[in-house]
Amino acid sequence: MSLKTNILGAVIAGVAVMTAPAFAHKVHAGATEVSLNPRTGEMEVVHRIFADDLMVAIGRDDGDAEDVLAEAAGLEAVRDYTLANFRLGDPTGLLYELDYVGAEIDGEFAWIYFVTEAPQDESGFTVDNDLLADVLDDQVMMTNFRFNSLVRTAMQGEGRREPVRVSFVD
Amino acid sequence: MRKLSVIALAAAVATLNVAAAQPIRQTTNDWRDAFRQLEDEDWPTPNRERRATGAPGPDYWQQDVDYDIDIHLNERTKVLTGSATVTYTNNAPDELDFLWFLLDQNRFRDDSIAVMTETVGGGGRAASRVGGSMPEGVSAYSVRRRDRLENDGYGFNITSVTDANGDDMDHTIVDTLMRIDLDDTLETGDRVTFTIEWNYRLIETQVVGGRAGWECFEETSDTGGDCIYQIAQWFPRAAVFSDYEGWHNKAFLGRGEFGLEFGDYNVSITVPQDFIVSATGVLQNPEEVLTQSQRQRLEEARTADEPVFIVTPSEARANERRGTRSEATWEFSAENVRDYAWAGSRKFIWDAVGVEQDGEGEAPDLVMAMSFYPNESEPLWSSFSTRAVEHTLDVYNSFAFPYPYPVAQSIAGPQGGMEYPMITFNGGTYGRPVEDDDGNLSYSLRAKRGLIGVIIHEIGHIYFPMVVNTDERQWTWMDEGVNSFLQFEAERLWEEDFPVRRGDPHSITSYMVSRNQMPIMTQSDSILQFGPNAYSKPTIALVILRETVLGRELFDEAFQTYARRWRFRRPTPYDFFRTMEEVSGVDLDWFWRGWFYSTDHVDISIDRVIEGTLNTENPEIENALDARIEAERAESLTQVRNREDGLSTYADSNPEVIEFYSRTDRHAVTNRQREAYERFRDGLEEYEEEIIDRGDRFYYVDLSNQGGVVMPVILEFTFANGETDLVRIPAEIWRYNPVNTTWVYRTQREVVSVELDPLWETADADRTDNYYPPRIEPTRLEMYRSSSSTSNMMDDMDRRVTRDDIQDRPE
Repeated sequence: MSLKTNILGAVIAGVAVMTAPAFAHKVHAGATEVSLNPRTGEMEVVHRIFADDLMVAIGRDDGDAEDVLAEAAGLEAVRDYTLANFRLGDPTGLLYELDYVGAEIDGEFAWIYFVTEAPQDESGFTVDNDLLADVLDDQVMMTNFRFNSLVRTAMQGEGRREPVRVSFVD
Repeated sequence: MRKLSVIALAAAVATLNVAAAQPIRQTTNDWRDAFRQLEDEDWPTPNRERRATGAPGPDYWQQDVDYDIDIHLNERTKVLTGSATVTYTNNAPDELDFLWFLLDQNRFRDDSIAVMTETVGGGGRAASRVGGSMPEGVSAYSVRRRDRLENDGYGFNITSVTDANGDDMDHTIVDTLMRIDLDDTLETGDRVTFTIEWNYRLIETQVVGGRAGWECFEETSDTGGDCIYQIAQWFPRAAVFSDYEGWHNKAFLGRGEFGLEFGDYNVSITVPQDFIVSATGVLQNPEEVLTQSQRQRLEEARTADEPVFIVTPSEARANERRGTRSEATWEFSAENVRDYAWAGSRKFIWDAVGVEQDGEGEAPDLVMAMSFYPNESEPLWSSFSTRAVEHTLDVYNSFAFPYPYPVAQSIAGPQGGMEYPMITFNGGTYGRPVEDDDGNLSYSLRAKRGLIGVIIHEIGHIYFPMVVNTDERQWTWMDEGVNSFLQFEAERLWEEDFPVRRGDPHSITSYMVSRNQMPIMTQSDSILQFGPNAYSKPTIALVILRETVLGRELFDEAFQTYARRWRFRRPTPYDFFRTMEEVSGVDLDWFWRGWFYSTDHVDISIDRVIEGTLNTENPEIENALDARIEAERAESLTQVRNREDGLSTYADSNPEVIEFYSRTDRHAVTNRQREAYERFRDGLEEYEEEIIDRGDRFYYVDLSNQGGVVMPVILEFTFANGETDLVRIPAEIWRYNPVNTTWVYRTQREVVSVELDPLWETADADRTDNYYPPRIEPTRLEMYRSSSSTSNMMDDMDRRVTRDDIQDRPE
C-alpha cells in the first residue's frame, strides 16, 4: 500500500507504510557508530538495536535471536534488512557501498557490523538511518560520527525521518 | 567509492543545541568549578516542609483523598459507567476554593492538547517534528488510530458533580483536568464530600495505544476467543496539591505519567458473571464471586511453597465457552494507595502464593503474589509470572522497605507494561509461546527474559512511584530511572548471566557522547530520547554510584534511607540528592552535576607516565643509572652510518691520542664522589636515610578529562613480575583543574604498564587512551571478526514444551 499526500502542492509518492505494534520494553532507541579504523583503513559502521525488535523487523520473532544469528539465513536476513534501512553517504549524498561483516547478540542488544572504504572527504556525511522505523513509529535512531576525536550526531525518529547531513566544518 | 545514487537531502540540520548547566562563567580564564555546590544553583532553599538533609520537615503535609466507587462494564459497548463519592481532606496550610481532578481519558479526545499536538505518525509518545522541508508521510497504523480517535468519541463524559446534599456543583473541564468549585472554602484540616458520575468508551489498546483498554482474541482449537480488559486511569482522580508547586495542573500529553494523592478506596466492580477480576486491594466478598473450591485454593496458596492454581488452565478454557448474561459485583477495598486499577476477563487463569516477609510492624508479614493470564500465555506465565513477583519483592525489600500492601499482582493483557498500586499490566505478546504449523509449542529466550524483566519492572514500580510518590510528569527518571536500576539489580539476581546489559556502564557511552542530548533533569514531555535519557542513563548513574563512587555499603544505606523517608510521601529530586549525600557522608554535587544536569560524557585519558626515583647521591647507584639512561638513548645516526660505511676515526688511526679519559668509563665512580656521598649521608636525618635506602619509585601519571564529567580515576598498575595493583582515586582529584591533573603513584616495584578503568565501570567513552604505554584497543567489530558464536537453543535441539509445563521434551 502506498499513500499519496498533497501538502501545499507538494506530492509525496510511495510513502512506506509503517506499523506500530506495542512492545513491552519502553526504550525504543538504537545507536549507530561510524568511525575510521586507522589500523585497517576501513570505515566501520556498527549498529546497536534491541534484539527482539530486530527479530520482529526481519520476521523471525518466532525464535531466539541468538539462534537466528547462528544461521546463515538469519545473518543474511539481518544484512538485507539493515542495508534496506540504512544508507550512508558523503557530504554530497553519494552513497558508500557497505560490506557486511556480521551480527551478534549481547544481552538484550543486537550488534550489526558493516565496513566500507575510508572516506576521502571527512568534512561531513549524509545518513538515512531508518532501522526499526518500520516496526516502531517512535523508534529513535542516533548516528554518531566519530572522526579526529570529534563527534557529530544525526538523530532520526518519529516526525523526522528524512536523511540528515552532518558536518565537521564549523 | 562507488557512486550509487543520491540521497534526497530534505533535512540539512537536525541538531539541537542543549545548554548544559553552566557554573558561573569567568572572563579571565576558563575555570570551571566542577565541585560547586548545587544549593547555590538549582536546589530550592530548605524549609519546614523539606529539610536540607533531604528528609521531610516537621511541617510536611500532603492531602488525603478517599473514594467510594461503583463501576459497571458494558462488555458489548465497551463502555464504563461509574459513580465516585470523593472525600477530600485539606491538610495544606492553604485555604482551597476549588479542587482539580485528572481526566486522563481526555487525552484521547480528538480536540485534546495531546491529539492536537501529535506529529506525523501520531503515537502516544510522539516527538516533535524537527527540521526538514518535506513531511515523511503517514503510516496505515496511524491513520487507523486517527480514525478511532475522531469517530469513537473517547474521553470522559462527566454526567454530574453533586455535593453531599445532591445539589449540582460547578465544574470546568480544561483538557485533561477538571476544576470543581466548592460550595464553601475548604479550610486547613477540613474535609468535603461530593459525588462525580461519568462514563467513557474503552480504547482498543493495540490500536489506540495508552496504558489500558481491551484486547480480544481469535478462537483457536486450543483456546477460546473473548477479551481481556485492563482498566486504569478510569475515574476522575484528584490532582496533586503540593507544598512546592501548589496544584499540579500540567495537562497529560501521554508520556509523563502522573503524581497523585494517597487515600483509601472502596470499589464495587460490576462485570459479566463469569469474569475473574483482579484489582487494587483485597477482595471483600469472596463468598459471592468465588466458588468454594476457589476460596479453598486461595487459602492453601497462602502457605504453599509454590504457586497454586486458583483457576486452572482447563477451568479457564471451559469458562471462556460458557457465556452468560448475568452480572456479578466484585467488591474490593484498598488502604493508603495513590491510584486504583483493575482487570477482568473470563479467560483468566489465576495462580497465587503467599510470600512471607518481615513487615517490621509497618507492612504485612504475608503478601499474596498472584498472576492472571489467558491460556495463550501458557506455559510461561504459570512458570514464571508469580515467581517473578516473589523475586521482585525479595530484592526490592532489601533495597527499600517491606512491600507495604497485602497483594502484588501481575496481569497478562494488551498493555506491554504499566504499573498501579498492587496491580501491574505486563506483557502484550511477551510470554506467549510460538505455535508452529504442526501445533508444536516452543518459546524463545527473548520471550522468557522479556516476561521476567517486564514483571520485575512493573512490580518494582509499586515501590517507585506508587509508594515513594514521585511525579513522573515532571521528573521521569525519579521513577523510571530509579526503578530500572533496581530492575537491573533484580535481573542480575534472578539467575547467573541473565542476558541484560542495561546497567552495564559501557552501554550508555554512545548516548553520552552524542550531540543531541538533554540533561536527565529535563521535564518529561520535552525529552527527545526518552529511553536512554529517562531509563538507561539514570540506571547506569546509580550503578556507578553504588559500585564505584560510594561502594555498596554506603549506597545501600543512603538509598534505603531515601526510600524509607519518603515512603507514602512525595519526594523531589532534591530530596533524593540531599539524602544520598547526607547519609553516605560523601559530597556528590559533582556527580549530580555531571550525570544529571549536564550533557557531558565520561572520557579520561592517560596522557603520559613518567617514572622517577629519589636521588640517593650514592655514586655506585646514580652513576650506573646515568649509564643505563645514556645507553637507552639512541646512538648518533651519523656514528652508526660511519661504522656501517667502514669509516675509521682519527683515534683509531692514531692511538697515541688515546689517554686517560678515552680509556676510562666516564660513569665510573671516583674517590671524590665516594667522599662526597659519605658527607651527604652524615648530614641526613634518620628518617631521610630510611626513605633513601628504601628505593621507592614514583610514577607521575598525567591525566586529562576529555569528556567533561569529573569521575573517580581507577588505575591498575602492572609490575614487571606480572602482579597488579588497583588504585581508586576519588573524583576530588579534579578539584583544582577539572581538565588536567597529575597523580603520583609510589611503589618499590617496577611498573611496566598502567590501565585506566580496567573493569569498565565508569562509562569511559573512549578506551583507546586508557593505556600506558599506549596499546592497540581492538574495536568491537574487530573482536567480532576474531570470534565465533554458537547456538544451543530449544528449537535447534528439537525440544518442545506443552501448555502445562516448561520442562522440555524431544519433539
